[in-house]
Order: sequence, then C-alpha cells, then structure tokens
Amino acid sequence: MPSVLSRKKILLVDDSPTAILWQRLILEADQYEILVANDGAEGVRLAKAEQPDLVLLDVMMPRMSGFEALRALRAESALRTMPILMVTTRSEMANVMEGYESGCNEYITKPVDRTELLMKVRSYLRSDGAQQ
Amino acid sequence: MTAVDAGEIRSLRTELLEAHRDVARLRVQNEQLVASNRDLSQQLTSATQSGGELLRTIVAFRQLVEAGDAVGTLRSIADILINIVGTEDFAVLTTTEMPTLRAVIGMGPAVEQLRLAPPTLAELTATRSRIVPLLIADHLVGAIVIDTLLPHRDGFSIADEQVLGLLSTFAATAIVAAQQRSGWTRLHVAEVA
Repeated sequence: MPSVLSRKKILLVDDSPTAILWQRLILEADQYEILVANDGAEGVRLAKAEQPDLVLLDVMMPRMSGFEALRALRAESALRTMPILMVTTRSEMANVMEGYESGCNEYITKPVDRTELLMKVRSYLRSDGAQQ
Repeated sequence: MTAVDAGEIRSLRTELLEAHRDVARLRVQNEQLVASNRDLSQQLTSATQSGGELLRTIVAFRQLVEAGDAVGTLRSIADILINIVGTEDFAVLTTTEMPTLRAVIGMGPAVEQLRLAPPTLAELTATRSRIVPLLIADHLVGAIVIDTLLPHRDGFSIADEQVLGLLSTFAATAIVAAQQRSGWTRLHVAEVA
C-alpha cells in the first residue's frame, strides 16, 4: 500500500453527486487520493492549486463545460502533460473529436464501468512512476 | 559395441516404464492445476463483478438516503438513472392528477412527450416498453418510464434491476411526502438536461 505522501492524486470534476460518489469509491479503494470539483471553473481552480496526477472531467457541466475547462487546463504550462480523461454519455460522442483536439487523453463513457475506469487510470498513472 | 546383459535390459525397461508413468502422472497433475487455475480465475472475475454490482447498489442507496427532501430525492433518482443505470431517455410520473399521470422529471424525448400528452395508466402500459411502478404497499403513486438505455448498454443487468427496485420505493415515498407536506402543485422539478 502506498504511503500518504506517495499516493497519486486524482481530481474528479462532475456536477453529478452520484457520478462523483461512484468514481470516488472505486478509486479510493485503489489507494488514490481524491479531490472533487462540482463544475468546470472549480475544477480548473483546483487543478492549478493542487496539481493532481490525473483529472476525470465530465463534459456537460454548469458554469464552465468540460471542453472549456479542458482548454483552460491545457493553456497552463504546468498542466500541459497532465493526463485528462473526459467522462461522457454516448449522446455526447459527437463532441469526441472536439475533446481530442482540445487536448484530452482518453474518453470514458457513462455509466462508468469500474474495471474500465481502473484500467485506464492505472495505465496513465503507472507510466510516470508506478502506483503500486 | 558393449554387451548388455538381459538383467540390465530388464532394469532399463523398468526405469523407462516408470518414467512414462511419471510423465503421465505429471500430465494429469498439470491438467488438474490448469483446470483449478481456470476455476479460480473465473471465481475471481465473478467476485470482482459482484463487488462492482454491489458497489453500484450502495452508491444508489447512499445518494437516496442523503437526498433530503422530495425534490432532492427525485433529482437523485434522475442522477442515478443516468450515472448508474445508464438511461438515455426516461421520465418519472405521478398519479396525482388521475386518470392521467404527470411527468415530473426526466431526460430526453420521453419526458417532453409525456408532459405534452399526459397518458392514462392503460396508455402508458400499452405504449412503453419498460415501466417501473412506484408503489407504497399496493397503492400506485407513479411510475418510472425508461424508453432507451445508452447505446453501449446491453440491456438491464441484475444489478440494474436491484437499483430500479430501490428507486421505485424511494420515489414512491418521496412523492407521497411531497403531497402531504405542501401539495404537489408547489413541487417544481426541472428537466435534467
């Protein structure tokens, strides 16, 4: 089990309390430290302040959409290479290209599958220094 | 060429036979180990899936318990239908204006259609493929209509059915609580878009 200091930090950005709780329970059980933001603007603020190791970003959110938040995050030099996984429903898939063009690394569809989420998160966090 | 006596040949034959038997025995053991490994692997996969399904139900239950008032409960129900069950087109209806049912929350075309043309219960059951009745004991207080799941969802799983069962009880209770508290007409619930 990683120590508190070595735990990777994941920022969840979603306006759905259910989605947040679901992702949080899955990822906390895998020993990640979780930060939560309820909209895009809060997500950008928290990402700048906390420099998480990975961000899970919902597409449809109030105040600032996931795409706007994504562009704002990529505009920050310190956050340019941070893995960002967009979380979307199938009906939003028309926007997938926009997401990749704006700099997201990967898409996950809702409802988020536990195994898929863990595999994708682990693969991104393992490559830069092992979350074991 | 070295001469080998009959006794030595017999001894070598015996050793060879034993070696063959050992190989056969090891093959059987190996097959048993492979089968056992496969079985353990299946059990692990099954346990992981069961754990995930149980977690989904726990998340739904926690959200409903923490929702607070009736509006919060209905919003939680919509949130769970989207994020846990994976519905794309659904509506929650009440029986407060019988003989027709009134759509109070939902997403997609279903809720709009049902708001524009409130159906009777008979019309609802005749035209919709999946209806979850909202019951308190035997008393019907509403229904959840699910027209479509997200395209990548392959039908309802057992865990989905458990979550829907949970939702039906909580939705029914929330609706009755709202009716008793302030009158349903004051309960304004926006569409979740």
